[in-house]
Order: sequence, then structure tokens, then C-alpha cells
Amino acid sequence: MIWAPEETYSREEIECIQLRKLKQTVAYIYEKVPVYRRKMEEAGVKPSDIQKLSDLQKLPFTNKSDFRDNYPDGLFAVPRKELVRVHASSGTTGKPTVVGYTRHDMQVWTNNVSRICCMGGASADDIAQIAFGYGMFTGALGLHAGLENIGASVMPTSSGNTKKQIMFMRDMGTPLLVATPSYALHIGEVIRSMGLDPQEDLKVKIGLFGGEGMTEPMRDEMHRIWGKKFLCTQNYGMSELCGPGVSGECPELHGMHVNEDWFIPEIINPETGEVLPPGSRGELVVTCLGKEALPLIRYRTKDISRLMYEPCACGRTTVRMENISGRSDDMLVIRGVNVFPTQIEEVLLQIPEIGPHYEIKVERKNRLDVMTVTVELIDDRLLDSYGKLGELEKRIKKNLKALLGLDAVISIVAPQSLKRFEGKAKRVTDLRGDGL
Amino acid sequence: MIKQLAIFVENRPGSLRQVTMALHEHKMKIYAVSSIDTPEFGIMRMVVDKPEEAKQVLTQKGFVTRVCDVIAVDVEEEQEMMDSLLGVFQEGNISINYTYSSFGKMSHHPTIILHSDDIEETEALLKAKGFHCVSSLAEESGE
Ligand SMILES: [Zn+2]
Repeated sequence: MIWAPEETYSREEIECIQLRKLKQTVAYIYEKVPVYRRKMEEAGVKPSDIQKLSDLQKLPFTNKSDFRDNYPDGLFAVPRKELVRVHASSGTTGKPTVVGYTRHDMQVWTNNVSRICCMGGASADDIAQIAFGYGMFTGALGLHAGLENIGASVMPTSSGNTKKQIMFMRDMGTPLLVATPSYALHIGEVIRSMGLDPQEDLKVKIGLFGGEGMTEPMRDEMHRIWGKKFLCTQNYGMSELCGPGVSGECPELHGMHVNEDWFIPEIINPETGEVLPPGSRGELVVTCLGKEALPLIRYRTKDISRLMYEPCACGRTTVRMENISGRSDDMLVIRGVNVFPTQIEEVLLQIPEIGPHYEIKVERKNRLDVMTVTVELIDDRLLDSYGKLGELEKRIKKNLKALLGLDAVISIVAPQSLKRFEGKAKRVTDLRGDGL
Repeated sequence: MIKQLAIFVENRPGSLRQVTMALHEHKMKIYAVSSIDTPEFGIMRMVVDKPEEAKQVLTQKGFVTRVCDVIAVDVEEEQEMMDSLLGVFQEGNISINYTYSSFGKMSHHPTIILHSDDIEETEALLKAKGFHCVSSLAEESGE
């Protein structure tokens, strides 16, 4: 089912809507957000310079660092009393990235998520089990609202407690699962270890996956575990843009349809910032249209993708973005949580007993991400007892958990044993490969 | 009271040998060694003839090395010696963090190396009970 008529508009109609909303958004942001006004003045561009869609290229980019520099709400265009919701995601260092929504923003967001859910096969008849972690993360509450909006029955089980997830799945006959793809695979394995066959003993037939990318080998594995007829799609979003609801896969499984009446995607060369011709692969840049609380112009997502304007067999006319094939920065997605090596570095630098060098290794064990942080010991006082070394290990773990919300394995090694780099340090080793 | 070296070693083949090799290169004598491993890393403890120089040598080689005080008790070859030694700690309610023993012919008797939270107090107690605490494990020990 196609949720909104805008998903099937002609290119001309879509572009007409985009231009109208872009002009409004630029005028709005220029008036309401001093940070943007300053950036536009520096770039020598006024709202009246935006006369056609390609004039978008005259506008300066917005970066993740703009959130940090204007923490917590310097990019907001409305006073706090107009906000009805606040979410947050990880920042590159220390403080999180805070995002806000007005009542109107919530309605738009919810409808955009509803479109994605319908695209992925959800309907009013479904019981949807949401196994995303609730809390400040936009994923859980975004899907929650979008699914409720189409009339599905939402079960907010949140993430973790896998045995209980499976109990609800069996007893309620859950047909729809919302999770990160790696957690969905993990649930599947636990089901098998209990001597059950997901295809025989359960009724799960739709998976709406997000929070991290799903590779094709992961999708194949998903079919092996949950059955050939299991319709598993992934969707895309990030909290800065609204959360989930930017784009999602239709049953054709060939790219994610962008909700183009609310988002204008561009692909740029991440090094030069130059906009690349249609069909090129590069960094995805997104402009949010019509957002009240947190309008964003040309936000650099750092995700690598490609735009496909060819018509889709599902009947939607909106552009599709290819599944994310990488990042133009060093952000890691670990158990659905965005992690920047700079965040880890910040924690480590505050611990005087260890040196400034470190390594991060990410692997997938038993379908779950495991992050190992290796540090060099420098303080000889810790050698008085094993207890002191153990205490150091615990302290590093606790500080990382406090900032990232993730458990890490800590490995302590002798000084000078980690590799030294002359140029750009390569401190991260991601062994997850195809995601399995 | 004597000086002990504690060296951080990673748990991989050959890592202990690197320590002893470095000391032998500088003609240092090792009187006692102990090493306990956790899966990830270990602390190698040893008594050598020149602890401060040994620390310098090992630090230059990239080892985190600590010099600290331990008690060395000369144990006569009596069967009950170890038991009576531990009896003293029990009576005094002193908990011992670790012990190991020396090897070689550096003294007439074997020596027990031990560590407690308050070295001075423990040593005073042992002396009061008639134990012989040495200040060096070298052969020509004047103790
Ligand atoms: Zn389609």
C-alpha cells in the first residue's frame, strides 16, 4: 500500500513542491536562526537568490560540528516552549547532538515514517514488536508513532531480554519485527538454540530494519533464518534530519525511496564539496524542507550513497538512494549506536595511567558487535597488585559505558606495543566485513 | 626488607624471556622470580642484585617496571617453618598479598619473599617472633 499521494507525483510536481518549500525554508532559517544568517552572509547569499532548485548549491553546508558548536539548541528556530519532543544522538566528542520537534514536526515525522512502514509491507492488521532501544534514540519512538498511525498494534518491547522477546513473538503471533538487522539475526539464533524453527513455530513475516546498514549477505542470512517469504527491508534516517523516515526500501529491494517532498538529497564529492552528476556515488547531503524546530540546509550526512531516478516497479516515483556503502568519516555503528573514535579518545585521555595511543577493533561475535579497546599502560604504580590493574580496566570500561552506553572489552598492553603512525592514524579495525 | 621488581608482561610466548634476556645482557643476577598470568597480561615479580639499574634497563626496553619493598624471610630447613610463619600472620590478622621463594645458592637457606599491605609492621612482627628477615639475597650478604 502507498501511504501518501506525494509518493507517486511526477518529477515536475515533486520539483515544484521542493522549490516552493525550499524558498520558504531558506527565508525562515535566515530570519530565525542567527547561525545560519551568519553562514549565508559569509557565503554572500540571500534568500532572494534562491530562484530555482539548482540554486540550492549556492547555500553553505551544515556539518555535525555545527551542532557541537551551538550545543544544545543554538540551531533551533523556535523557542523552547514550542517544542513537544527532544531527542539526542552521539556527537563526535563529549556532548550529544540534540534535536527538537514542534507539534507540526511530529505530525510530519510520523507520516513520513508511516510511508516507510507501508513501503516495507506493514498494514493496520499487523502487531509490531519494536525491539529498538527506547530512550533518547529516535528509532524506537519514530517507528512507534509511524506504525500506530497506520493502525498497527504496537508492542514496545525495547531491545534486549531476548528470551522475553521470543515469548511475546510466540504468544502474540507477532507478524512484524522492528530491530537493527544484527539484533534480528541474533534473535533468530536464540530461537534456533531453543530448539524452535522460526518458520514453523513463529509468524514473523515482515522485518523493518534500521539503526545500522543491512548488507546483502545479511539479508540472505535473514531469509535463511526467518524463511524465504520473509519481507525484510531497511530504512534510513538520522536524528539530525528527523530520525527514521527519510527513506526506505520497497518490496523491489533496490534502493530506498526518499520522501522527496520533505527532503532534497544531493550527492557530493566529500573532498571538494562539488555536486556530482546524477548516478554518481559520493557523500549524501540532505536538505530538510518545512521543518519548524530544526530546519537543516545541506546537511552533510557523511554516508556514501548514489541516487537513482529511474522509475520503480512498485509504482512510486520518488528517487531511490542506494544502500549506504560506507562513510566519508570514521564513525562506527556499534549495536545501532553511532560511535566516533574521537569520543573514545576523549575518555582515554582523561585516564592518566594509560598512554595517548589506542586501537579500536570491532568484530561480530554471535551476531552481536563486540568492541575491543586496546590501551598502553604507562603508570608503574599499578603493578603493585592485580587488583589495581583490574581496577583500571573497570574504570576505562565504566567511563566508556557512561559516554557511549556500550560495553567494551579493554585490553591493556605494554607501552610502545601499539603501532605508531606518521600521517593520519589508523586506529580503527572493523572486521565485520559483510556484517555477518 | 628488600627491593623487588614488578614488570608488566603481555601474555604471549617469549615475553618473560625478553625480560630475563635484557637482565642477562647487563650481567644482572636474578635471585627469585614469580609470574602469574591472567588471560590478557601478567605481572612478573623478581628479586635481582641491582633493582634500580635493572628498572632503568627494562624501562629503556619498553617495559613498565616498578620497584617496591617486600619482606624476605630466611627459612631454616625445619618442616614446620612455613606453617609457623603463616601462623604469625593469622594471629596478627595480617593478610598476605602474595609469596614466592628464591632459588639458587645465594644464601644458606631458602628464602620466602612476601608482600603485605604494611611491610614495616609485618616485618617488625616477624622479627619480634624470632624470624630472620634479610635485607639482601646476595651471596656475601652481611645480614
Ligand atoms: Zn519502489
